[in-house]
Amino acid sequence: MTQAPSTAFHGALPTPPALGRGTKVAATLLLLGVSLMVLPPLLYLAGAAIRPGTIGALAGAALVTLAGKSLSLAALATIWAMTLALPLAWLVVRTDLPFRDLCRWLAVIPLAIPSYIGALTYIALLGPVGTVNTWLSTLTGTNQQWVNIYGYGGGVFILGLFTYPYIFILVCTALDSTNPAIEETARLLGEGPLGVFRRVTLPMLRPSILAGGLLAFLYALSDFGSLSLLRVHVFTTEIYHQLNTRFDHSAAALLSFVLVLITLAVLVGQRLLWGRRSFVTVTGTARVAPPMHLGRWRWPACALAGVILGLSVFLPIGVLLSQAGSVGQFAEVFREQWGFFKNSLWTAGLAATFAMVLGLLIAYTAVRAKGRASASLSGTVQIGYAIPGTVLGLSLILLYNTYLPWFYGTVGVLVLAYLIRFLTQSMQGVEAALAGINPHLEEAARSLAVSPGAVLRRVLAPIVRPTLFAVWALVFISAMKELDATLLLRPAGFDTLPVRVYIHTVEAEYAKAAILSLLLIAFTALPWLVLTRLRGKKLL
Amino acid sequence: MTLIELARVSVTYPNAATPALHDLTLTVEEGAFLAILGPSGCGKTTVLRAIAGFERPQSGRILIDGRLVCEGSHWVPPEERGVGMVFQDYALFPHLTVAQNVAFGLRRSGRKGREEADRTVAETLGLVGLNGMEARYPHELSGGQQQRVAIARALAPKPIVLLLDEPFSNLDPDMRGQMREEVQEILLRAGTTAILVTHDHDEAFAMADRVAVLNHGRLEQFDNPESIYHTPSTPFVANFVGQADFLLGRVDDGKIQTEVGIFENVDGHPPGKAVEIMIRPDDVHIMPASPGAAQIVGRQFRGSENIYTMLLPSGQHLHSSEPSTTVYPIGTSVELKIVATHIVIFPKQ
Amino acid sequence: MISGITIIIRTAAALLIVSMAGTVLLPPADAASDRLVIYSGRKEKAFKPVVEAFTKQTGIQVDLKGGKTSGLANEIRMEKANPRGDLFISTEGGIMEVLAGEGLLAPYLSPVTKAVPEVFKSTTGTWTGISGRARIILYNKNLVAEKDIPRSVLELTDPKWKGKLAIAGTRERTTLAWVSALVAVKGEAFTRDYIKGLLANGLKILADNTEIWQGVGRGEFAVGLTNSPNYYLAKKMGLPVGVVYPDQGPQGFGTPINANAVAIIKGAKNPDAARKFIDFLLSLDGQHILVTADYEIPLLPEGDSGEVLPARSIKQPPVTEQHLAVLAEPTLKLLTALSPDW
Repeated sequence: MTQAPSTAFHGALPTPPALGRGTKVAATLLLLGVSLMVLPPLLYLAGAAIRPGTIGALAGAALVTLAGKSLSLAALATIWAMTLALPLAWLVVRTDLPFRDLCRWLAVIPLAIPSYIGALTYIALLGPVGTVNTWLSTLTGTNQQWVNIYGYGGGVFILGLFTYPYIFILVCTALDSTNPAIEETARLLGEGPLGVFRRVTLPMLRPSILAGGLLAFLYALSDFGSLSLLRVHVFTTEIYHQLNTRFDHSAAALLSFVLVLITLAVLVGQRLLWGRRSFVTVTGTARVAPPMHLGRWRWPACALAGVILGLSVFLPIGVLLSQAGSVGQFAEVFREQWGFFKNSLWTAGLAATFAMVLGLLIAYTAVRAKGRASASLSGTVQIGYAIPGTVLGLSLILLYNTYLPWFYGTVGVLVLAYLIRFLTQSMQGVEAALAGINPHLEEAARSLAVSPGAVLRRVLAPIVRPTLFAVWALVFISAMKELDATLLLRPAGFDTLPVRVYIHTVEAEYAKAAILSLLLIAFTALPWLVLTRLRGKKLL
Repeated sequence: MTLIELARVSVTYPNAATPALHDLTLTVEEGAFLAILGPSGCGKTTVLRAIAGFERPQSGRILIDGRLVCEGSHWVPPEERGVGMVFQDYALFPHLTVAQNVAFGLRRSGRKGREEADRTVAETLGLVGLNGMEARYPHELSGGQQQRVAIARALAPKPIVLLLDEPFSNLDPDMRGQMREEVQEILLRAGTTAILVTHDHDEAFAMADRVAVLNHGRLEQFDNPESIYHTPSTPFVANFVGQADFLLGRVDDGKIQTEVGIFENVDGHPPGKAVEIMIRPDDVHIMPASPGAAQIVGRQFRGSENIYTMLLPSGQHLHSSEPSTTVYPIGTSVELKIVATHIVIFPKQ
Repeated sequence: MISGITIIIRTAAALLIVSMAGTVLLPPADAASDRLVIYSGRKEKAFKPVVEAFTKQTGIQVDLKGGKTSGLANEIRMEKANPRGDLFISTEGGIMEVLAGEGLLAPYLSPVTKAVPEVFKSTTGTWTGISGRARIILYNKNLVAEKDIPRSVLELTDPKWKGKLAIAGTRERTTLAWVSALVAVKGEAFTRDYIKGLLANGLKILADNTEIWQGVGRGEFAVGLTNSPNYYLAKKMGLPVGVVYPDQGPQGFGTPINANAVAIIKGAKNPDAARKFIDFLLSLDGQHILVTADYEIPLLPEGDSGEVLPARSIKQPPVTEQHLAVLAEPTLKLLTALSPDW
């Protein structure tokens, strides 16, 4: 009886089978299509930004300060996210932490909580007149401000807290699939558990930590909602400010352009330093590492997990529940705003489906086809993620209203915006899965007279089906939460849930905002829940 | 009739300094079994992949069943070549059952098509002895069973030729012999032309009608197994297919003078030429004698035989294979008697 | 062998593909001739009652797009070639003058609009005010003693107010209009020194007016510079706030009143419905809702202001909206030169 054969490939990867002319043409068409989707907004931005006079309008020093602030905030938030993700991931996968499966599921929920909602709840808790301050003031009898979440530090705290799942998920997957024999060998050679972690496990985890870290970093760099609520002065808030105070948008365009350049620089730098494959290739072992006994470290570990999950899941949801009011109010708001729910679900679902299919095609081309077309393909797609939502909305309005007015103003342009922004999530996930598949499977199929297209459909897609679903869920969640671009692009009367949350917050209708936030979180967590249950029952 | 023809095929991988295949010319007759033999990195897998269409040669011509599949810019993709392939790691589709795996390459349109395909699947599974396993998944099978499924899958669409890439190297050694026999039988029954790639000369000899020995991308010898073993064309081939010693000799007086005897100058080398005579252990018989021509300095027990290493006065070593029923201790002085059915002489390099 | 999951997936996929085609091929809702598209810089909560009453009366469906006045104005500019909106509602008149100057508005003169006082509408009929907001000083009753209540905005540079002041940034156009009014009345140099003084006194610049009245109400700040409706809103929520209409004395230059304005966008797809809406806004019914729902100051002379101090009771500085429009850009430059938070 053999071990469960992985689809993984052992040893050095052979060169992928040469694709015929037809597939190369398809690859080039794909690249063209994706470029047409992603590049025009960028080009418009460049055009609007590089105009005489606008450079002078924004002092060079101010630009540098802004850049420094934005980058450092994103970097610190990422480090904070790593600090949260790593210990939790290790505890959940490698030890006998009680309720670790539940913890693993819970740790993903912060992804469903938009960062601006997170910021809201912490302002209510840790703001100058928030719960903690009021409580401490009554306790000590003074009127001092003990904690203040507003500002740079608050921004780092919130952004890291709600992006750590990106790193957590990838590290968990990597820990699941590393070969225990390597760590056991290290133990035999004299290293204690901590030494093994430091010298063996951590280096092996580096690709996933970096991949997740990159996602978190880019999120923090382009986030607007939470930072504007926390009164932090960075690129995105400045762009929004310029858009809403200045008469023309060239200043906003310039700032946007610089921000996009910075993000592109980060992407290019990441690629150069850590290579194209920024994910972990499955090593394909059948053996799973036995969980480590925590012993007397059990309670500290539980406490740590409890704190992390408490801060990122229980506390925010608790605050929202307390602000939400009665069940009756809940029902009323639900009834009143049901149309907006439909809007959110519909657009997010469409975007996720498009992204899944397109991501599969692009990932396959990028991984299997040779030539420069495929290399530029994934790079082009990643650019889409780098464009902040506000900027994207701005550029899409101008482009499509001028050249394709019948398209602009439809829901289609909204779905397009989601697609541009989130296609990269789909593509990277599928690329990772495809790269781990033994190329012999494809060759065997082709020797059985199956064309490359049919190989994709009949062999590769079924094997990566779990990844396809995961990727669908990921894009769905991202699209459901999206605020910045939706604010600008939505046709009149077509609001989505995040837009409603924003409007009610700005108009100080906190109870309604809380109710809608809770419903938004529930609707985004739902696909994830379904996915994990299906996977648990091996139906996927 | 010639089924597969490679004419002066060269393949160089990108960023490689030397070609993987250099000017290779080979033919395979219909119904024949060719083994491509050589050490790792010699290019044997490359030949297979070139025939299958997974590598594109820089120069040369490949014909399959009289049809030109590769020459210059003309190139037929793998799915149109009608070639079946069995991979070293079997490459079974993990998400399909055995039956679905085997049926994968069959046309299945319409009810009639499906019935026909089902029949072929049953037939092919019967051929490899796996009837009753249709609903199993690959991970539920043993290594040998997986291999049989891989063969059935490749055979089901009745390919022109079956390519096997080191198919037995993943099996336990004791399974190998059995599987070789079984596969041979299957192929005979199916009547399929086959090309096997291996680094194991026992395997090549056991299964093939013709053997091509490759070394660093070049064809060293293309012959039937007996000729390869008994009359290797180069020292490399000689060494690769079995244990061989090279006895120094000199052409003198129309014969070749060596330390242990005189041999016929069968190749007509000029007088005074220094040559090497290939001696296999099974050609050398030893008898303890005192004083002897050589001394035993080593012994390896091989189950049915002992291989003795002997030191000649000149310092050369010779090996002799004797049945293991008798054991000569190390240090024994022996007489040598060389009985060679073929005399293979190489000029001294 | 097709599993149940596969069937579900395939059906879902088919449904989604059909809807995909639907989004792109079906015309957007507002292309239908009977829907009115309004871009509103005003709070949705306040404005929705008006919209709902209008729909009830006329049967015309409305699509409302909310946002910040400046942001929406920018959008109108960008959509110039193919306007998607019919009506624009702003929080002050200056921006209307700017848009009118760029030829983006379509004039509308009706018997109703004639009744609006000249200062609160365009001379060319391109826009009209519908209600007003006064620039008031909001203070927290618990933090400011009766005797300390400031009567003029100029008092706020006094050191006793250090760290206790807040105002919304120029994202709120009413702030910009207020400073422009100061420039018009007192001159640029004076205004610059005044703003400098405020900043030196620790003036906190926040994102919008909601944060101001909430902050003052909670006690985060003692004094806030904001618009009159916010006083009533805060009072309604039970917050301990008081209000001052500053600079009303005989020497005072008055309290500026900004007009919420409405204008028809040039090239609107639904100009008839747009005109009907403007008439409704200026009708007694419409004005009544604006006053009672959002505590705005009615601009029509005969309007019943209810709780709210009417326009005629407030001394205002002699500045026209046209003048404010002209001053907007230079004032913005003045402010941003003093602090990037504006």
